[in-house]
Amino acid sequence: MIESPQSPRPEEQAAPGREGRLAVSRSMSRWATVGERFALPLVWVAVIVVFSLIEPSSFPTVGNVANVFGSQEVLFVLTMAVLIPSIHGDFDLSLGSIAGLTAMVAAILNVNDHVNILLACLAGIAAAVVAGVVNGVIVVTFDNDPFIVTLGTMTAITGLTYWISHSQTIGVVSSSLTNWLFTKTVFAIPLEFYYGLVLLAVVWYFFTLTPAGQRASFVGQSRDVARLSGIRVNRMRLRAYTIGAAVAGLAGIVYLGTNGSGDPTAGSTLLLPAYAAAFLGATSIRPGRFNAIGAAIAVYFLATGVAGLQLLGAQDYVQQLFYGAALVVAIVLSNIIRRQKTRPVARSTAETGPATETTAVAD
Amino acid sequence: MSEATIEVPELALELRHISKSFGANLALDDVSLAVRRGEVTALLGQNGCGKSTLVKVLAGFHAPEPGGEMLVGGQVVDLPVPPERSRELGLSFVFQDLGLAPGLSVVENLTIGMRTAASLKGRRVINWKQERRRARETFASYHVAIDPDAEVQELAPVDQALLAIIRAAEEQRLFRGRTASRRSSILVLDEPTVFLPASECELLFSLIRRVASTSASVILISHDLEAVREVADRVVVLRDGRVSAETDVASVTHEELIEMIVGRRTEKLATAVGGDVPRAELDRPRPATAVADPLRVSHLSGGRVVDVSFTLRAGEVLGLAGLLGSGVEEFPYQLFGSRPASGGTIDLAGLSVPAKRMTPQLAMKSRTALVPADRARDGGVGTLPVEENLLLLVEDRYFIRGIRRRRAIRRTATERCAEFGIRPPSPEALLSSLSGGNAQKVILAKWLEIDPRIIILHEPTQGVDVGARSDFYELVKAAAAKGAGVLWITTDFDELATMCDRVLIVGNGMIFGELRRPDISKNAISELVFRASASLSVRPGGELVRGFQAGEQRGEGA
Repeated sequence: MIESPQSPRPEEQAAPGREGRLAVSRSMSRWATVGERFALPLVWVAVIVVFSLIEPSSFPTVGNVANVFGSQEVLFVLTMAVLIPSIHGDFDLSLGSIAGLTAMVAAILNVNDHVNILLACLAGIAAAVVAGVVNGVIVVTFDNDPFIVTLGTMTAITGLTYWISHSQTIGVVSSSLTNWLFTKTVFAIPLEFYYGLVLLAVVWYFFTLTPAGQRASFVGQSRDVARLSGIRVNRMRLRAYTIGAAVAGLAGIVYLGTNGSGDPTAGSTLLLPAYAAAFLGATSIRPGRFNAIGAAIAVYFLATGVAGLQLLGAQDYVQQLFYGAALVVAIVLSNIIRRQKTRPVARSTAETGPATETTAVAD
Repeated sequence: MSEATIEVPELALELRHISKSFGANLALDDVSLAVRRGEVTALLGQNGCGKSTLVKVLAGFHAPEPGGEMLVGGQVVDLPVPPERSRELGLSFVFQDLGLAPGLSVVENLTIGMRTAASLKGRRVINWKQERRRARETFASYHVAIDPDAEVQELAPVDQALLAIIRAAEEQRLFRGRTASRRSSILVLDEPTVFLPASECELLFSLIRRVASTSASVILISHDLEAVREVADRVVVLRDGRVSAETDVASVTHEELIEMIVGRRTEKLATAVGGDVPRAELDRPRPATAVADPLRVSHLSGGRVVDVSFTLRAGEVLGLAGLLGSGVEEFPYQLFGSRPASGGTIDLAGLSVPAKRMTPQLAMKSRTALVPADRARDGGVGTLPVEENLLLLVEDRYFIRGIRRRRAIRRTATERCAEFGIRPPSPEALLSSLSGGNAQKVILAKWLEIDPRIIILHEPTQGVDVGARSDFYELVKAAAAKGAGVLWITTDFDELATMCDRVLIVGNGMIFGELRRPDISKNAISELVFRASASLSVRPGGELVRGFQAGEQRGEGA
C-alpha cells in the first residue's frame, strides 16, 4: 500500500541489551498467554483426574463418560445460541424460553395435530425465528436496552408456552425424532452429541475463519468503531438476534428428542447454565472473547464437575450451586484478564488541547 | 460577618511564578496573575497556550514546578491543591461537560452537592416539597427560570450550563456561610459558551455578571472574544505559556486583543483575505489532464454548519481551521456520513450524494478514509489485537477458498508494523496496550489499506508523542504524494501551518476565508480564526475586514 517513507527509524536501531530484555519478557508473556488460553482445559483434566482417583470404580467408566457427553446436548446447543448475540455485543435472555417454545410448538403439532415430525420441528424453529426477529427489532431498530427487552420477552414467551400447552407436558412425540437424536449411539454416545460437534464446527468456522465473523467481533467490541469502518452494525445485530433464536430453536428440538415430550417449564431452567458456559468459555482459548471452543469445553467441564459431585453423593442442588458459582468465577476471571491485557505499556503524556466534545456517530 | 462590610476589593486569588513542564515542553512559564474579588477575569489564548494546564493546576490535577506560589484570600496554600480541599478554599469548577447527571431531575442535581456541603452532620429525611421550593427561590434569585422537576437531559443546553453554574455558586455560598470563612469564592468556568448558539449566550453572560456581583470572583476561560467583551472586567492573555497581557477589558479593542493572543500583527494578512484573494483562481477550471477532484462539497448545512462549499483536490493537503464550537468539528463526520447533515451535496470523486443520504458505506465506496478524533472510542478497538484492527477493512482479501487466512494476515500485519514503525512490532498485541502515537499509526495504516482517494483527519495527533507525530506526518505526506486528497481538521494551528497547502478558516459554521502558501503560518491562522469567530455579521467568503470592523465598533461602544 504505502512505501516505507524512510529507511531505518531511530528506534529500530535499539541497543542490543534492550532488544534482549524485550525478547525475554516477550517469551515470558507468551508462556503466560499459553497458560491463560489453556487454563480451562487443564482444570477440566485436573477435575477428571481427581474424581477418577476418588471414585475409581464409578467415575472413569464408559457409562459415566457417555452420561457426561450424552446428557448435555440441550445445554450445548443453547450455549452456541447464546454465543451468537454475545459475540455481537448483545444480550438475549429469552433464548431459553425460545427453546422451550420451539419444543412445545413441535410437540403440539406432532402429538395433538399429527403433523409429520419434520414439519412440526420446522414450524417450531419458525416460531423461534419470529421471536428472534421481534427481539431484534425492539432492541436494535427501536434502540432499547437488550437486557430489559429480553427479560420481558423471556417472560412473555414462557407465558405463551404455558398458554398453548395448557400448562401440560405434551408427549410422546414420534419415535423417529428420539431415535435420530438420542436412542442411536456411536461409541455409546447418542447421535445428538455429534450433531452438537457439527454445530460447534459451524459456529467456530464462522466466527474465526470468515470476514463476516471478524466484523461481528468488531461490532461486539465497539459499535462506534464498526460503524465508522463502514460496517452495517444494525443489520448485523438484527441478524445475530434472529440466528441466535433459530439456534435456540434447535436446542428446543434436541430437548424434545431427548425427553420425548415438550415441557412448559423446560426453557427457563436452561438459560443460566448456558450463559455460565459462554462466559466461562470466554476466559479460555481466545481469552477475553466469547468463543465457541472455549464455551464447548466449559459445557463439558461443568457437566463433569456435576457428574463427579453427584457420584460423591451430592443431590440435585449441586448442579445449580456449581453452575452459579462457575458463572461468578468466570466473570471475575475474565475481568481480571481483560484488565491485565488492556493495561497500556507506555501511555503518552503529551499535553492535549481542550477535549473536543464531538460525537462521531449519530445514534 | 456580612460581605458588604468588606470594602476594599482584595485579591481573591493570586498566582506567583507558576511553571509547569511536560518533559522538554514548558506548558506554563513563570505565570503570575491576580484575580480580584467581585470581578470576572477572562483567561484568553489560543490552543496550546497553557490555559488548560493552568486550570488543571488550579484544580489540583497537575502539580506545578517547585517555586511557584498560590495565594487564596491572601493566604499561601500548598501546591498542588488536593481536589477535596478546593471547595474549602472557595474554588469551584464548571467544566465543559458540566458534571450533571442527565437522567436525574434539576432539583436532584442542584441539591446533591449542596446537601453534602450544608448538612454534613444533620442527616434528616429529605423534604422534596421544600427542596423544590428552595430550588425555585434559588433560580429566582439569579433571575433564571428553570423547572425544578424537569429532567436535566430535557433542558436546553443553555439551561444546563446555567444550572451547573448556579449549583457551583450556591455550593460555595452555603459552604462559606457554614465555615464563616472570609474568603471569597472563586468560580472557574472552562469554555462554557463553546457549544451554545450565540443567541443564548446572553443568558449565560447575565448570570455570570450576577454571580460576580455577589462579590464572588469568576475566572472565565474562553476562546470567544465576544463573550469576554460582554462579561469580563479584566482579561489575562496567555501566549506560549506566558502571560502576554493583563489588562482591563474596557481599555482594549478587538484588534488589540487579537494581537495579544496571536503575537505580532501579520500585516500581509489583511490584504490576503480582505479581497485580494484571487477568488477567480479558486474557481478556475482545472486543466483537463488533471485528476478529478476527489471531494466537492456544495452548500453543506447541518448542526452548526451553515452553507459550506469547498473543493479538495487530488494530492492536496487542505486544512480546516476553526475554534472549538465553530462547526469545524462536525465536518469530518458529516462528510463521512456518520452524522447526518441537513442539506447540501457531497461529491466524492464523481459520486454525487445528497449530504442527508451520505452513509459510511457510500463514503468508503469512493475510498474515503476517516481518522476520527476520539481514538479510543471511534478509531480502533482496544480490546482486539493490532492485526485485526489493521486489516479490518480488507478482511475479504484474506478470505481465500472459504478460509480466513490467519497466517497471511499475521504476515501482512507484521510487514505493516515494520513499514509504519509501530512499536512494539507485534501484531498480536492488543491495540490498547500501544501508546497513543503507535495506536494512531495503526488507525492510519488501517485506512491506507483501502488506498484512499480522500483522507479525512480529525485531530489526528492529539495525545501523540513528538516522535510518532513526525512519523505520522511523513505517512500522510506520502499518501498525498500518491494522489490522495487530505482534509486536515484540527485546532492545532501549528500543525496546519506545517502540513497544509491551503487552509480554510471556519467561524460560526461558515467558511470565512482561505490562506495559501506562502501566507500560511500559525499566527496567520490564529488571527483569522479569532477574527472569524468574533465577527458574527460577516458573510461567508468575503468582506472579512469590514465585518471585523463592525464588530470592533460595537466593542468600543460597549
